[in-house]
This record gives sequence, structure tokens and C-alpha cells, in this order.
Amino acid sequence: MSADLSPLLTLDNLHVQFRTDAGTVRAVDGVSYTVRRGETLAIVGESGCGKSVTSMAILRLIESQRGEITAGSIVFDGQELTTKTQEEMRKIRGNDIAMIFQEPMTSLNPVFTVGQQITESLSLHRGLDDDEARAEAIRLLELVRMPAAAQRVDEFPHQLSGGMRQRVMIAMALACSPKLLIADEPTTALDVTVQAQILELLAQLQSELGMSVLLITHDLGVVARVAHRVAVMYAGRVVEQANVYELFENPKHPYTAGLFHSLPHTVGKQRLRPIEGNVPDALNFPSGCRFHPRCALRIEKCRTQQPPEALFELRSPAPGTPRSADTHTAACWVTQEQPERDLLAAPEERNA
Amino acid sequence: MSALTPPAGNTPLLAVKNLTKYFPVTSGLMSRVTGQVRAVESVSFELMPGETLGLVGESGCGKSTLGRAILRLLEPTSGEVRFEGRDVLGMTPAAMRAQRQDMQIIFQDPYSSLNPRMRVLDIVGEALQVHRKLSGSEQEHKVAELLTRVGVPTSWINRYPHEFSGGQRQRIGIARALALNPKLIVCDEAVSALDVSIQAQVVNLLIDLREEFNLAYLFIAHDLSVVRHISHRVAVMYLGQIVELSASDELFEAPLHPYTRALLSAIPVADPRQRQPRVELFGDVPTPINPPSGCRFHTRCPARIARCSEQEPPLTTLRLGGDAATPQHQVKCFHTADALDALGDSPTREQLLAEVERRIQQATAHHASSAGANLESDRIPPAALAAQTSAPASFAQGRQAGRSAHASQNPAPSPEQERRRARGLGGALLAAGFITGGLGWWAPAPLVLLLGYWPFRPDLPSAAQRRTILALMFTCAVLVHLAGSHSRSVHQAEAQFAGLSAELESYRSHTGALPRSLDDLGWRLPPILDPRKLHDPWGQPWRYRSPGSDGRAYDLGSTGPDKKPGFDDLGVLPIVTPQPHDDEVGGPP
Amino acid sequence: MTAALNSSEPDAPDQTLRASYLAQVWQRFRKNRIAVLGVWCIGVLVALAILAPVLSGNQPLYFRAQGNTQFPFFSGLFNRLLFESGVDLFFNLLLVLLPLYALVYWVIRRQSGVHFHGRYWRVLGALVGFHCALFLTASVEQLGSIQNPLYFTETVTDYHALQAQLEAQGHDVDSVFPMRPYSYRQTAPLRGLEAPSGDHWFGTDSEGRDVFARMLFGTRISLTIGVIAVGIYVGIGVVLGALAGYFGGAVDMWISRMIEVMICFPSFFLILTLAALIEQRSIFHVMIIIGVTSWTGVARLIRAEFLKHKSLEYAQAAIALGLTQTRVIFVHILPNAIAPVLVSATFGIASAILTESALAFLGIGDLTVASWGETLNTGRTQEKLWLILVPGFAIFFVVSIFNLVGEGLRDALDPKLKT
Repeated sequence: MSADLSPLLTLDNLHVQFRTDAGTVRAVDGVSYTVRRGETLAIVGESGCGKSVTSMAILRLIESQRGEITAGSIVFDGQELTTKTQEEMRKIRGNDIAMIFQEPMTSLNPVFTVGQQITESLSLHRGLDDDEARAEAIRLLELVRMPAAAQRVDEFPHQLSGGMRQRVMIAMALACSPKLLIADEPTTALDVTVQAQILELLAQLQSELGMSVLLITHDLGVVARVAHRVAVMYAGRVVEQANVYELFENPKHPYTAGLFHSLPHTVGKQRLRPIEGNVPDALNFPSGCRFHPRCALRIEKCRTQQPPEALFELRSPAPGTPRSADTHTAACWVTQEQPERDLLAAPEERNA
Repeated sequence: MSALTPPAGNTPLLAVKNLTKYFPVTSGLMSRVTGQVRAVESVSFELMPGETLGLVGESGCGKSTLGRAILRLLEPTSGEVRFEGRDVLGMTPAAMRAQRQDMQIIFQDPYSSLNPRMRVLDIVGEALQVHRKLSGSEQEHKVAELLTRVGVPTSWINRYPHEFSGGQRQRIGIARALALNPKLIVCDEAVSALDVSIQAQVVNLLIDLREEFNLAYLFIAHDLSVVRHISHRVAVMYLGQIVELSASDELFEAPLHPYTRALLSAIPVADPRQRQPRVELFGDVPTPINPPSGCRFHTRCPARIARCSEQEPPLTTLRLGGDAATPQHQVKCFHTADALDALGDSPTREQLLAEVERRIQQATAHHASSAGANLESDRIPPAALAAQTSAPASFAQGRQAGRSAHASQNPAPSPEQERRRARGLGGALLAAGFITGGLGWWAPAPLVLLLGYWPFRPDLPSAAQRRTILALMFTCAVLVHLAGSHSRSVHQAEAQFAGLSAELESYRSHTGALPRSLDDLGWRLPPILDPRKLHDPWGQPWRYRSPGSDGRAYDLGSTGPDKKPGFDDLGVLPIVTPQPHDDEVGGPP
Repeated sequence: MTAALNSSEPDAPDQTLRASYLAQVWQRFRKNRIAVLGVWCIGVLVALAILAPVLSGNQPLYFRAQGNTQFPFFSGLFNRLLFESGVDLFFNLLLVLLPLYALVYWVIRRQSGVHFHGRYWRVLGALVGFHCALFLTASVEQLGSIQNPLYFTETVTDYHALQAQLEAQGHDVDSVFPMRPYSYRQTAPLRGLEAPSGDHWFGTDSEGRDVFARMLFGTRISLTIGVIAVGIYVGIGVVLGALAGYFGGAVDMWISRMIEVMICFPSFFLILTLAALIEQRSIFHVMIIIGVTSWTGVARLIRAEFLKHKSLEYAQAAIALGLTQTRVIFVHILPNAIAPVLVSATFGIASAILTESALAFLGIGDLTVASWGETLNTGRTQEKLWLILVPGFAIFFVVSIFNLVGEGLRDALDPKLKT
């Protein structure tokens, strides 16, 4: 991680709503987090928790999907993004903030060559001429470890395999040396062997280029492999944030702990301890702590009052990070009352 | 735990032998077979009652195809499937339908696996109704029981699938599979699409059901940790073949095949402190249309040796000294086969592992020295591309040809040019058709239009077919024209003649003489008369007798209430003869 | 329909969420105001078609003279000399029996109470089936050795002339005629090509027939043409497309080649040729011809849908449950595959109406019925504005309405079900 730990992107109390036929969906409800320069922040959560919506809100792409930012601020590199016009946003998108998507099959335009697609954003933002752009495209393909880049640059997406398409997507995203790369489930559609290659590539690129990465995923294994810090989202809110070691070793929210219990163990075949119940419907989230209907530790307060994000004592500090920048917050009434409680060890304990 | 120990038993529930499934790649008008997708090739394994066999591999390795071929949802190309000793592939359709009660499937996608037009009651209960002939209330009772077992509220029995969440839908899918008390369930990526917390619930449910009903699972998944958790034995597939099959823990702790090793090292482990060693495994799975020769993994294998690309390694069953109780361990790799040969009869497990490890390391080191060899393996063979998609591939081939021979200009017009030329001509003809039609010169217009329409037809097959179709269209056009003009002129003549003769008859009957000209009738001829007048019940036969004393009067047409007399100069009033049955209404005064 | 849907069993704990697929489609359809307006317009058209004899006809509803009372209108409804075409017979039967049907529907609905919404389609289907059976029976002259009581061919009296004559003779005549006192078939050569007036609202055609009456009865023809022709080709297309898509292989190849050969012919020329080859064309011939030449689109649509749905997991699950192929095809896949066909059928109705009008316009239609296209043709040959504008607007109006409804239906069916 680079030494400069000033914040690059700061979300403060962000609220995003969608108006649907069935009612208003408060997809993101008071989300705050910070991505620092040169770090990878992973957003983890199950489907429908609002993790992708948040990233679309950062790029201001939700307006085209009947969504709106109703409150809060997004500060990127000192600029407030929520008040920018779409014209101003277009200059930021792809240039300062780039995004790669889950589906490498559909994200590339089948009628243009790989080179043309990489070149397009280059000539748009940097104003390169054809030869320069082509050379730059080859350089970018080499940067993402594309084999035989000079030939691949003239090929069409259908001639590439899934892993290579995802490499092209990353090359396109890197074309303008963005300060922030948003990777929305970048490896979900890929096979494990290819996923390992892409994750490794992302980690290498980040340390080479010193950019920040906002990684959105549901896979805790991916998080463990590449993230520096993790924010866990549930039902439109961030429930826990910490560095990756702290979060995996000392979770302070029952939901985070429940996720770990749900994973099959590598040693022994103990029965899994899944979180009971179902992911709540976005149209009517529960009151109070939104996790309380599924929570084994819930107390009466959880039903009525929304818990604030409280600071916890750090047990596993991240190496090479000043303690002031390395915080652990979680939004849970129970652990705030009993900060010493070890959620990973406590098995079948139930408070009524 | 009981999940760890595979159930004992001697007769396998399911025995699969040399099962092969090829998908033909077809092209052209008559679906000529141009290639084969070798999705599953010579797969053999056995499954005991109550046992779970995990089936893992990357996408396109044929694991789902294998599951469906066993259930005959896809008809296998060759091989043998025996269920409790009965030959499944030789069964008649009716026998197969009955057999299906014992072998069920749970699917990956909880959204598309339930029929959106059916209520849960029907989805789960349909099989009961068909196979068990249960009555409505019995069926409802049984469905409620099943739903309770899988943890879906029974009060929702009348709901439609879209009202459920993904996890609940998957539970409904499980209830549907359980309805007929099967002995084998193929779980085709049954938990892959679910969120982590829900996935754990469903895995627990599957394990409970297995113990409760002594179910055997063929558990297909790409998530290796779940497979390890649930399976007694695991088979690893690569490009349609099983490359390694062994007891679950043995496979995960001491993998022998380089592909298994690569796969295991690639799983992201949820532990930030455990950064796995890198495995030099590049590129993607090659296409199964033209799988690599020899060992199918050799194009990506970090430890390949010269023999791998020429010979297919045998599926070696380990003969380990001592413990005969452990399930057999099969590996399809030269390194293991060679190690076994080198160690002689009945080596111990540790000896074998060390020997295989040594051989793999040696081969890997050899390859690392000649770097860059990996790059070739990353390419998709152009021939395979051509078989995959015909149009873009020909384009790609054209590009490649162009790249190799830069300036070989082709003087003959390309099909595209010909097409463009034909379209130009056709456009002109179409315009001509519209103009001739517009000028009122109707006869040739359809022909010209037809000719002009011709080149715009999408994908015309061949010149011979073009000629046939053109001849047919020409005949059609002539027939239309002839028939149209004929019938129109006949109708017109008949109608005019009928009108005129009626007119003349009226005139004659009234005046006793024939008119000298049409002007005497005071009547202009209708241009085109409706031939229906000939048998029109209204006018028929246009003769009205007057009830008055002077004998006869007539009217040509009938009338409205305020209709003025038609032939004022002839002094004719519109009078109608009361018909016989109308006598009681209006007889003569 | 909505009332029936909103009221579900009071003991069911989750009544608000229970919505079948059709109810959801209807909910979405209702949001499209123009399409709903289109549905209302279709309703008005159907009403006009059914009520046409009451709105225009020359047989009095009530006629009293010299102490005798007659109701010639009602017996006239089934007089084959007054209403020659089967289409008119169908609608006249409906006109007479509609109150009865409404009563039956109402009684069944009352009796089944809140459970009714499940039987909605069954009751409606039974009534339609009964009516069609009755219509077929009424079309037969002899039922065994008995004369069909619904089959009349009585000579027709001209009551206008009779009334005029009787009044001229000093008798007191009391009569009630339909709204416009003209039959659509009654010719009056002396009054041909009259411009619109208070008497003839839309003028008369070259043979003095009242254009207003012909437009009214033309509604019947157009609607019937649309529904029956589309019904025929949807039937053929669904069966062939389902076979091709489900079984694949050789079946698929032959059916697909057949479809391609059919598509090679410009369909309108094919229709023209077939129509020209039939000597005594009735309107049903025209419907059948349109039906048997237009099925290719539906077949291709259904084939594609079946190819897609066959490999979907719910269909695979149905096969895996050991259900018969017939059941998999018709109970499981077809209801899911039919939605795009419904949309295309709505557009198909519009195009069938247009085709029939075009045939009549070219003089190759059924000459015994009052078709809009035929009036248009007269207008063209006679160069009279009202003979072109009135039927032209009617055709435009109906075709537009069906297209609007089709678009609404497409939008309502298109979005994936809420997950």
C-alpha cells in the first residue's frame, strides 16, 4: 500500500431511492465509507444489499435507471460529485474513475476490434491520433498480461476467451490512468482458475499504478485475497468496516460473523451454521437494526432503534498503516454493550 | 460425523460406464454435421445408495451434460447407465417415465427452474397426481408435508413462484424432486446461485434429507469448498473426461493430477493471512469441439512432458499397499502412472505422493526455463472458432488470409458486390412497378413489382431455387391478372345486362313498346353493377303487380319512407304486391 | 375482472400478494392509457357489430295496421334472404341471446362468490362454446328430417312501400323502424351516388345502398375476419412451431424448410392467387385463405420460444418428473411461450382486416357482404369523396386501435416478472 493515505473518495450518509411500480425502494440508506489513495476497499454483501447501487451512484449512472440520490454527499478528489451535471460527470467517468463489470461477454461491443474499443476512450479523453492510440492500446494490453498483444489488438471480442475479455475490459478501464477503479463483481462469471489470474492481475496493477480500487463482491475468499479494507453491507446500510485482518479475525457484527459461519470449513465437516431467514425485501425493510429478524443475538432495543456505527478496539492492525487511519466500526447494539464478546466462537447462544 | 463416512454396500445404485455425449455441430440448409462438441467422453463411475459423489470442473467441462445424460434429459451418444442393475438407456419411453420416479434433479437457477404459470401446489404436486394418481386433497396434504420438510410456509401453497425469494424457490425445487421419494438426486449446481447465508441453509437441508431418506446425490458444482463439505467422493472433470476421482478428503489434501492441484490452489480461501502459492496455469479451457490431442490438459499443464501431447494417459487406479478399505483413487496422468511403475507393487501412500510430487516439480522446472511457451496455449485454435460460429469465423478467416497475403486483389466480384448490383436493379424495377401502377397501367404492374421485389428477398438459397420461385411467382401474377380481369368483366356484363333487361321489360310492360334509345328510359347505365342483383331476393324478379284496377305498375328499386317516385314522367307510383302470406295485413280494399 | 381479483378468500393470510400471471399483466396493461382506450374502442366496435340490425335495417321492430300487429324485425333476423352471410347469422344470434348469456354469467358469478376469479375463463369459454355450437346448428337447413327452426327463407316484404301504400289508401299504420330505415343490401339504382345528407348519413353507393348501413355491417365482417383468420393461423402456427421447436431434428428441419418456402412467396400475391382460383368466394373462404397463408410468422415465433423454453430448467424438471411429452408441451411450455404470439395476434387482426379490405378493394372479396374495402373500391371507380373517406377512415381507425392495443399488450407482457 502506498504511504499516502489521504482520502480519495468519501461517501457521507448517502441515500439512494428507486421509484418502482410497487413503491419506493430505499436501496441505499445512509452509507458512509472512505476509499484512501492506493488502497483496495472491498464492499461485501448479499444480493440486493445495495452494494452495486452505491457504485452506480458514485458514477451518477443511477439517474438513467429511475433512481435518485436523495441525500448525502460523494466527495471525490476534493470535488463534490452529487451536484455535478451529467456533462461534467462524463469527463470524470472513464478518466478519473473507471469501472469494470461482471459480464465480460456483454460488456464489449462485438462489432469493433479490441484495439478500437480501447482507443475510443483514449482519443476521447486524451486526444491521441490513430498511430499513437494503437501503440498505447498495445501497451495497455501488455500491461494486463495479454499474450501476443500486438495481434490481439486487431481481433474481435468473439475471438477471445472469457478471461481475455475481462483483461481487455481492465485494459479499457486503465486507458486513462484512473485514480479510482470500481470493479463490480469482476470475477463472478469466470472459472476459478481464470478468477485467480484476474485477481492476481488486479493486485499487481494496483501496486504498480498506485490507484485505488473499489471492489464489489459477494465472495469472502476474493476479499481475503485482494482487499486492504472491507465494508460489509446489509439491506442498504454498512454494518461493519475494518481492515481485512481485523474483520476476518475479530468481526463485531453478528451478520459478518454469520457469513463466516455459513462458509464450509476447510478442515473437518462440522455442520454449517447459516443465518436463519431470508434477505429482506427492499420494499419494506425491518425497523430498527435491519438485521434483527435474522439475528440470533437480538435484544429488544434492536427492534426499535437503529444502531449507530461505533468504534471498536483494534486487535489485528493492518501492517504498514498508521493506527489513526486503521479503524474498526460496527453498527450493533449487542456488541457495543459487550465489546469483548467473541462472535466467531459463540456457537448456539441465543438471547430471546 | 456421519457425513464423513461413505455408506457401506456392495451393489451400486448407479453404474455409469463409458458414457459419451457428443453434440453435433451443424451447418447449412440440410443441417449437415460438420463437427462434434465432445462434451462428455468415456466417463465411468459408480454411486452407492446414500452416497454423494461431487463433480467439479470449470465451465464447459461437461459436468452438467453428464448429469443430464445420466437422467436421459439429454440422450447419450454411447455408453451404459445402470440404475439398480437396470439398463436405463435401453428403456422404452413409458418405462423411462416410470423410472424417473427414482431419479430426480435439482437445478441451479431458482428463477427459471419453476414454471412461472403454476402455483406451488401444482409445481410440487403434479408428479404425485400423474404417477401416484392422488386425489386433490391427498395431493394438497402431501405437498404441505413436503413443504414443511423443506422449510417453506405451507400457507403459501397457492402462491406463484415469483412471490418467493431465491432460497425459498430452491427449497420448492427440492420439494418437487423429493415428491416421488427418489433414490438418486442429481444436484446440478443446486446451491451455486444462492447468497452465502442461504447457500449454507440449503446445504444443511440437503445433508439432512440425505440422512433421512438415504438419498444418493450426484453433486455438481464449481464451488470446491461446498463440494468438499457435502461429498463422500469427488470426481474432477476436465474437457469431458474425469481426470481424478477419489475420496473427498484425500483429493483435497493430496491431489495427484496437476489440474486438480491448479484448481485447488486457485480457490480463494477466506483467510487473509493465507496467501496461496501461485500456480502457473495460464489461459482458459480450450473448446471441446477440437480438444487437444493426447492428454487434454497438456496445453495448460505446467508439468507436461513430451508424451502428453501424443498419447492419452490411462485412467490409473492406485494400488496402494495396506489399506484396502479406502475407496479407490483414480488419476489420469502420466506422472502418477510412471510413479506407480517406478515404485513397483503396493507402495505406501506417502511414497507415492513424494514420487509424484518430485516428478511434477521436475517437469515444471523444466518448463519454467523455457518461458513464453505458455503463450501459444492461450490461443483458441482458428479451426475451432470456425466450427463455433460460421459467419464471424469466415470473417476472421478472411482477415487472416488477408494478413498473410497482403495485396492479393481478387478481380472477381464478391457476393456482396453482386448482391448490391442486384439490389440496384431491383430498386429500379420496384420504382418502375410503382410508376406503371400509378399511371393506371395495371396489367404489368404486379409483374414488374414482383421482379423488383425479388433481389430484396432475404437469404435466397440457390440459383435453381431462385428460378423455381421466380417461375411460380410469375405464374401467380399471370393467374391473378387473368382471373381478376375475367371475373370483373363477366360480372360487369352480366349485371349491366340484367339491369337493362329488367328495365326494358318494365318499359315494355308499361308502354307496350320498346324504347328507341336508352335516353327513353331516362336512365344512365350504372358503371359496374353488382352481379348479385341477378339472384337478389330483394329485386327478384323486379316485377311488382299493382293491386289497382289498371293492372300493372312497377318500381325499379325499393325505397325509403320519403322516397320520391323514380319515373315521374311515366306516372309510376311505388307499389308493392302483398305476398300471399301477407294477405291478412294489406289486401285490396 | 379487477373486482374478482381483489376479493380472494378471507381466510387466506396473504391475499394481497396472490396475483396470477394474467392479473399482473392486466395491472401493467392498465397503466397504458392509450391501450386501455383502445380496448374500450374495441368494445364499442363489438357493440356496434352486435347492434347493427337495430341501428340500421328496413324491417320494422313493430308494425301495426288494420288491427294486425307484426314484429318482422325479429323473425327477419334469421331470414336467409335478409341476412345471407354466416357472419350476420352469428351476430344476430348473439344479439338475441346476449341478455340470456349475461344472466347466466351473473348467476354463476353470484353463486360462486369469491371463488369466481378462478372460474372466470371457464365460464366465458363455456358460453362462447355454446354460442358457436348454436351458430353451427343454425347454419344447417335440415336437422335430420326436421326443418331447422332457425333456418328461414321467407320472401321479404318492403314495409316502407307497404306503409306508404296503406296510408295512401287511408289506413292508420303504426310502426317502429330501426334507427336508420335502410338495409345494407337494399339497392336503389335511382338513388345511386347520393352525397351525405340527413337521410343517408354517409351517402349512398353506386347502387343506391346506404353507406352508413354498410359501414355498420362492415364492422361485423372486419371483426370476424380478424378473429377467425388469426385464430386459424395461430392454431396452425402454434402446432407446427411447437412440434419443430420441441422435437427438433428432422421434424424441425422439415417444418423449417416448409416455413422458409412459404415465406419465399409474397403473401399478398399468394392470397390473391388463391382467392382468384375459388369461384364462389364467401367471406369464410377469404378468412381461411388469410389463415392458411399467414401462419409462418407465428410458427417461427413459437418455434423460437420452444427452443428457448425447452432448455429452461422448469421444462427439464417436468421431463425429469416423468411427465408425458404432450403434457410437457401443452401444460408446461405452451403457456409460457404463448405471450409473444398474443401480441403478434393482435397485430395480426389489424393486418387481416387490412388484407380483406385490400382483396375487396381489388374486387376479389366476397361480393355478398358489406365489406369496407368494397365500398372503398366503389369510391375509387366512381371518384366520390365520401365513398373513399368513410371506409378509409373506418379501416384506418380499426387497424390503429388494434395496433395500439397490441403495443400495450407487448409492453405489458414484455418486462420480466418481478423477482
